[in-house]
Amino acid sequence: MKLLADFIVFQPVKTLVIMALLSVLAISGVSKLETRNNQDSELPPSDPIVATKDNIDAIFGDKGVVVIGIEAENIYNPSTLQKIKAISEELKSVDYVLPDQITSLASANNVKSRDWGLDVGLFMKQVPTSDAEIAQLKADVKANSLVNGRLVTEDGTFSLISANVAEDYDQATVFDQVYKIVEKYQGPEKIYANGDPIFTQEIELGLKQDADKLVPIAMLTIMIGLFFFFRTLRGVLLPATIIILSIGWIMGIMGHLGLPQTVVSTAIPLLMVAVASSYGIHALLMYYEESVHLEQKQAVRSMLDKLFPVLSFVAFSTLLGASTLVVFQVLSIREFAIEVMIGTFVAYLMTLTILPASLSLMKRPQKTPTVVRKNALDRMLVSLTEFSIRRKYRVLLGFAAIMMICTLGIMQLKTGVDITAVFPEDHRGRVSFDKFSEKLGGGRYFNVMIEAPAAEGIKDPALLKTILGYQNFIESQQGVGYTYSFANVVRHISHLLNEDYKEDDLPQSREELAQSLLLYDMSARPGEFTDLVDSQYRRAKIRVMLNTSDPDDHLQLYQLSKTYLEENLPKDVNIEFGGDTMFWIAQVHYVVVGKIQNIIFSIIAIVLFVALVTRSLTAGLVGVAPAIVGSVLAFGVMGFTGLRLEISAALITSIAIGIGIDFSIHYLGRLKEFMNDSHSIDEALIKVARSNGKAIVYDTTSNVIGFIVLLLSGFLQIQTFGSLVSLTMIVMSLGTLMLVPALVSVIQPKYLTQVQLKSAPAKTPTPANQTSDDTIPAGLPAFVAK
Amino acid sequence: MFTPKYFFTVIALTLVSTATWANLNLDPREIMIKNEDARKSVNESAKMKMTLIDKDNNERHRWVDFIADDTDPENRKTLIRFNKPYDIKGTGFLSIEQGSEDDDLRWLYLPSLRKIRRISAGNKTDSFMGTDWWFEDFEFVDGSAKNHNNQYRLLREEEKNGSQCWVIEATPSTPQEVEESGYSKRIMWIRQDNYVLTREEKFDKNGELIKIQIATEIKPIPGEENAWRAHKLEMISVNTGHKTVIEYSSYQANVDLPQGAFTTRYLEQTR
Repeated sequence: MKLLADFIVFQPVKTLVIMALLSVLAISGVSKLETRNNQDSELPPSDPIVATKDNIDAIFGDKGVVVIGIEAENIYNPSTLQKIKAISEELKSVDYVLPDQITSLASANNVKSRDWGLDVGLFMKQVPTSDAEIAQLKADVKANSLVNGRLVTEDGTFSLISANVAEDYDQATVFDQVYKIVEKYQGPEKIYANGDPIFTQEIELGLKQDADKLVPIAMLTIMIGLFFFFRTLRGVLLPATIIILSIGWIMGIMGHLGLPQTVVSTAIPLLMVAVASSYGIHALLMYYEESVHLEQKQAVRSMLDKLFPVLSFVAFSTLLGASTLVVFQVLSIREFAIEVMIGTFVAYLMTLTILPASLSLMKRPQKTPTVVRKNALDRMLVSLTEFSIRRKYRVLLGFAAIMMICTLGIMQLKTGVDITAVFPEDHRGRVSFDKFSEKLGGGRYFNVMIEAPAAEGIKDPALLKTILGYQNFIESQQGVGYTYSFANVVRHISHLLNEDYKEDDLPQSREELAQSLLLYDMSARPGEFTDLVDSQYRRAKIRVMLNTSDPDDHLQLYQLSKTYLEENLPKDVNIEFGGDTMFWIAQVHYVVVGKIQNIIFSIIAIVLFVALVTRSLTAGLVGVAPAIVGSVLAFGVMGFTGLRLEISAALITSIAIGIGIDFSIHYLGRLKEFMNDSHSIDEALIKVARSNGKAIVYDTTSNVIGFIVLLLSGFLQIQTFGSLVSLTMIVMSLGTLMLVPALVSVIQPKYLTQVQLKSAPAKTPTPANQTSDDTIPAGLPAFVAK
Repeated sequence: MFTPKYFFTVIALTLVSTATWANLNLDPREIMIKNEDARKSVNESAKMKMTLIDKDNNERHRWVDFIADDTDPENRKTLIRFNKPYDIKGTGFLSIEQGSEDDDLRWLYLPSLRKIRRISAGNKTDSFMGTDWWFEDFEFVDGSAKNHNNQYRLLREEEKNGSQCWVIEATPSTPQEVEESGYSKRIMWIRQDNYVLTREEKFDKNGELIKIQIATEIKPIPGEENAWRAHKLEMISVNTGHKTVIEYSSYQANVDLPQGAFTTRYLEQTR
């Protein structure tokens, strides 16, 4: 180890060349970096909801749907109708769009009752131009319950064009080509695009824009922060270099290892900004302390001696925190855990090589660096500790009260993703989503598959009647826009053939049903029903359109549906649920369970780790206190503000807690060291405040600066998380600086009191300004430094 | 050495090659007219098995009896009666073409409701009975009946499925045809030995290949000279992977059709 440290300090150029070569090698992997948009592999395939979704997808195809909406004062005019026809036609040439699965007024099949018989064919064979033709079209739409309120709103102000896209579609391609069409026909009608491929791509574009914007801004603000701490150019440039290289390395290594970029991993660069800047601050603080009394190379060498154990310890605790994310059953979170571990190691490696090698090439600072001089911050920290010791019970009560209040918030904590709340209200994706929900009764959906025991089973009129019954039942629930199934088609045709049929009357026999369908076949495309019934007429799909985006409502509707169908369908009929909403319902379960497991594992890991190092279980429990306060506060605030627990919340809070844990570990280690040199625990606590407190404040500040930049994100959730994480970090540092001294002062842990104190114990804590030691090394836990 | 034997051989060879040369120089429109002639307009009856096959190879079958009066190509009359599956047994479909100007007449008889309903002619691009054929695919657009709707271009000659063929491209040539047809062009393989169409590739309005029709089991029409019928037709929808196979059996030509076979009254008579 010594040899390596000597090499870094005394052969700095060689060290930097080696690191440069390694950097080229690592960063070259960026070109191999792939993106994974597909959610399907995210959850374990054995999950009951995932399994049933996969079943439906296998039968009806896992197709995405693109929808285009046209809004006009009245869509029944030749120019708007022409646009509907032109857009329907142009959609056919969009890559991945299935040309024969486009539904619009221009392509929809219709059976119309005329005085001479049945008019079978398209709604618009040609675009109507005369008033009479337009009036006829309007009447045809009104008369067709399959289209009225579904393809065209009842008030005639909005019309829909929907296109199925092939299973292996490329989201970005579909998005670009669809928006080209939208822009071409925009005005005076308002044209909106939506559907899974469009909305997900909007989110990804937003995340990419965020990453492009936020990482440089975070870098800049952190550099300004670094300048305020150190007031030197090297104090700014060296951590900045480490941050940039760390981001390059981790992205490259992800490429080499075949770890794809996902929505979750877009957080990696920002996280690296936080971690690497934190390590850089630790290292530079030590260097400046050493440089006060040593020559440059000796100062760097001495810094490295002290830095290595400290940083190894800190990095290990971060690795431990990240490793607990592996408990999640969500693939991208597990990958994220691995990426954070690699990223932490990279930042650790950079801080131990590039930073000292570069410093070794520089001159020693002329004046005592600002950072190691005593200042107002030291006085403030000491006052804070004194307060915590003097009013320890009040402090403990205060924290307990905060915890109690936050527990109330946790009880209100909601889970799952409310997709409409992702974007600000004026965002294109949100505007479009809201428009579809408002006009056509739903922007989201789930599917129910009814599987008869044998082929042709769906043609049983009794079964179709139960399906219609279910549709009526679920449509009467809050949050359901409308439903659509094969039963609707059958009802529509049979009513055309039987003028005396009422409301929900269906064909009386299988024969009547089959023959009615044959009529529809006279003009239907082969496989026109592929979306509604399989070719064997064994399985039918019911689409339930939802106008609520609240995941709790989704879960409730799912449960209601399941109960209704299980009670009303024959026992040999199988029921399955599908659609993206189902995926999110399943995911909520894994995120919540994963988060609870993750918190438990983190707490156990920290307690054991601190207990092991300090050889005291009490120390372990005291050490974990700030992290518990931080977590409870984070989730409490989420509960009060209505912020939902979903993937990003689960991750960001874990990471914040992981970083915050370093504080208490440092603090307790340092405290034990000072016990050797103090007359009482309280005196030792004051000393720790002066040395370690400063590092905690700097560390917190740099992290808060990094995370507060999230306020500039294009996503509401991420903006809120910026403040939430910053708040958590501040609370955790306050927890360390106030709660830990109060707890230690009350408990008087044995592992501290057993230390040989100085002979004459002081009755009152020594005020900060009376301490003789002006340059206590910051950020160095005694148990690892020695 | 010049002998009479060689003389006749040379003459014969010259004649054959002239004939071939003449064939090569046939105007593509003439080839299409000969293709039309090779079908011959006759009364015919057959049993047909329709197999609808989805992309996962799930099959559905329909069996129908079929009679047609083709004596006036402008007024082709067809009657289809479903036999199987049992739930559509007896359902009948009558179609009378009305030349190029008027909409065709179509009626459907549903035995379960004992109702006969006239249904509209619909669009050329409407599916025929839920199969991969469009009504347009049955039109005799390439022959004498409506031969000016399309223009033809001889692309090349090549062997296809063991027969030498002309490869001809047809594109709609009138504004009405451009508007109504579902295709921007079709490429057809016409056998040089009997003028029968063996393969056809159809392209949508964006120029994408959307359907392929393959005709096999080409047999002479009994009692007719130089007249042929494919007894197995396959239509593949390229995008969906769905296809339909129609197989003819008990094919009879120039049959005596029942009196009034192409009337709604006859349509109602289930057997």
